[in-house]
Amino acid sequence: MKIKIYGISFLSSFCSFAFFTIFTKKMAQLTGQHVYTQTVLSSFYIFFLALSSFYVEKNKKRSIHSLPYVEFFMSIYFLLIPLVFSLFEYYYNLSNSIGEYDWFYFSFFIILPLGLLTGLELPLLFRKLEKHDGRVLFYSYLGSFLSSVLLITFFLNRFSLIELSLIFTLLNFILFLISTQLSNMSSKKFVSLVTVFTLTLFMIIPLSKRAVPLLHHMSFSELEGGNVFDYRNFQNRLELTKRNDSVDSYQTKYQRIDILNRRISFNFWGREEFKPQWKLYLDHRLQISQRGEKIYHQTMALYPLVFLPNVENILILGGGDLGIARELIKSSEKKTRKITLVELDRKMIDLSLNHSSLSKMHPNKERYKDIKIIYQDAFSYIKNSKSKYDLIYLDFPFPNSAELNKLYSKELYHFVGKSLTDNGAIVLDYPLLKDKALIDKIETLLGSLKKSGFKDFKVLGRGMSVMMASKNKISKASNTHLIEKYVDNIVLYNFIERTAEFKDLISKKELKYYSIFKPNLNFRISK
Amino acid sequence: MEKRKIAISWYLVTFAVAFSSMIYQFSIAYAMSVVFGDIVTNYILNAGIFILFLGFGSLFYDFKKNKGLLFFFRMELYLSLAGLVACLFPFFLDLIPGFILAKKVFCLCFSAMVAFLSGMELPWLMDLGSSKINTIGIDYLGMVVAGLCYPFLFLPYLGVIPTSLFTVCLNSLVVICLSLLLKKHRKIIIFFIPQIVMTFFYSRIDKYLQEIFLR
Repeated sequence: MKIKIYGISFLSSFCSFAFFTIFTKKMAQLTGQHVYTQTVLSSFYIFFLALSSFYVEKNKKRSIHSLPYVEFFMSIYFLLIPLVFSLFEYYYNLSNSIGEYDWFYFSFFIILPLGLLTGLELPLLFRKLEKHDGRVLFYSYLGSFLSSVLLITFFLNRFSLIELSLIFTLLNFILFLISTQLSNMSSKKFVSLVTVFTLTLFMIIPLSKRAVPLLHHMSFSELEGGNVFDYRNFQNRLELTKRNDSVDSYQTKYQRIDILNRRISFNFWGREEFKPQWKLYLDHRLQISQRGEKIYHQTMALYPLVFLPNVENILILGGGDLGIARELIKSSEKKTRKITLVELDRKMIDLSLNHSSLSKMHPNKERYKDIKIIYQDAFSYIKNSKSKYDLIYLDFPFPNSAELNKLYSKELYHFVGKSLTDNGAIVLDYPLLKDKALIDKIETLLGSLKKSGFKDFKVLGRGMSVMMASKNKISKASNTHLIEKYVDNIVLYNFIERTAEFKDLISKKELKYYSIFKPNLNFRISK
Repeated sequence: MEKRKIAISWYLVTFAVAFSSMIYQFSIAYAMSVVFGDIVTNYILNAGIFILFLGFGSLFYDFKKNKGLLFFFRMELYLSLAGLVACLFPFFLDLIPGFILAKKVFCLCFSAMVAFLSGMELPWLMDLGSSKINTIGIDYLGMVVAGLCYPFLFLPYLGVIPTSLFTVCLNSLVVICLSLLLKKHRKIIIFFIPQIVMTFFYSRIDKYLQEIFLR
């Protein structure tokens, strides 16, 4: 009997913790608020665990006979999650269709059954044992440990949400079978529960297999120009998705990468036109699109070179789409420029070079062989770097998680500053947010730079803006021929200096800043 | 009435130790991710190691013979010291260049030690408390509150280093209060005084460790 109890203790915590981790990770990617999401969800989960423990304590009638029902409902719950989550993902990704904090209520109702059911398991097992047995707790902890490690190193990167749900449903069903033996369930009840489970399995799995990928595709099919296909018009949206878009999705250890390939676009009047284009999303947030990538990359890469004519040693932190590297190589003329690129996610570089849509950005990729690519966390790299660079590009996604916020901290800028030559400068994406509520985020960015010793700043770009910062005075523009020679006509409008608009902010003495030692969770910018 | 008073004190102790264990785990994971980078890996690795050693702790507890109040006090003393080292040592290790893997293993060993000691707390409290299941419930509640306080209150308002110091202080205060309340093993209080004194200098320690990191 004891072995069965240990087995149940191990497997139940393995399945529950795995499912909790999967859901938390997916929700964090969707909302982009990693710290908030993980904390709130963990708290919900533990709170419901506690409620269940109290419930068992108050109801002396509850015994091991209730355990098979707990496991049965848990299996059904695991089975339904992919479908429910995809529906939420679809509605969440449609802007204006859902409130900013609706993920909070949704998570509450998803975690509620998981926490309550899991919370019943251990107390019911304890009730079966007459005296305390530390091994029950040990196997429960061991189950949670193995599920967290295996999930991250093995399961999450290899299986889709439906496959994961099926794996854990079946594992939980084994748990149900063991618990029926332990509680001596009558054969009549056993047969009826198994029948209900089998029927649900054969109904839900085919439905999920069709609906989940479709809902995922539809959630990326936002329209520009014509907004006639809003979320209320589900049928139109479905039709459009079926004949138009395809989404290539990749889950890596660090992020979710989605590449939306569109065959049909919409013009200003909302009419369909045949102009295929792609869009790159990291953790559900748009990074670049075929239409905008040149404006962003040419402004970011070439504008600083106008002020710094003698750049030899260049470092790109981030920039896994290789757009900045492409522009630097294109404009290198006869000069020998040493380019080092530090990217965390190997998959991102691989996709940039080989994905059918993204690789169109790089027609001359044979010229990239001289780029030194280092696969490392940018923060660790710059902290330990002994090299000096003339120009450092900071090309990261906007801060919206603890991992990304670190890349906008005063500590990072401190180390970046230490790696610059005397006349060197850094360049970073600097959004010109007009919303008053977001102005303090701009201030925080600037404050972090000033706090780490940067003194001279230039804000460049009309639509897609970047900031150039140096510890010394930035020299006057002298290399303007680069603009004429290497900047595309459609990008030219963006080459305008806007430093004057930020004069007041730049001259302000006390600015807010972001430090990894005292992180401010409100520091979050969404593109 | 006296019985009720003791039960409430017992729940408070359960709450405080669960709370501080959870804060230790968050602090170690955060400190490691600050020093070594890669938040995702460090959080997951730490959570995994922590849960596993919680299990080893509860298993080891079964083999332990002498489980009186002094055993709990000693456990808390080791925990406050291990917690202090585990949360602050990553910043000192940063002074030694290279040996990244060895440094990570070293930090994880201390994380495991904290978890191992924390793992013995719950069975001990369950054994001595009036209700096992209520003890589990209070333990969960302590973790919930810690889970909410750490990112919303401690990190943004106190910072990572002062939070670790205050947690060590809380750990020490639990033992001191319990010892005074039950009027037993009062001599052990002496061993907790340095931890409490250290907390008074939290801002200096914070500043010093930040300077080391930025060197």
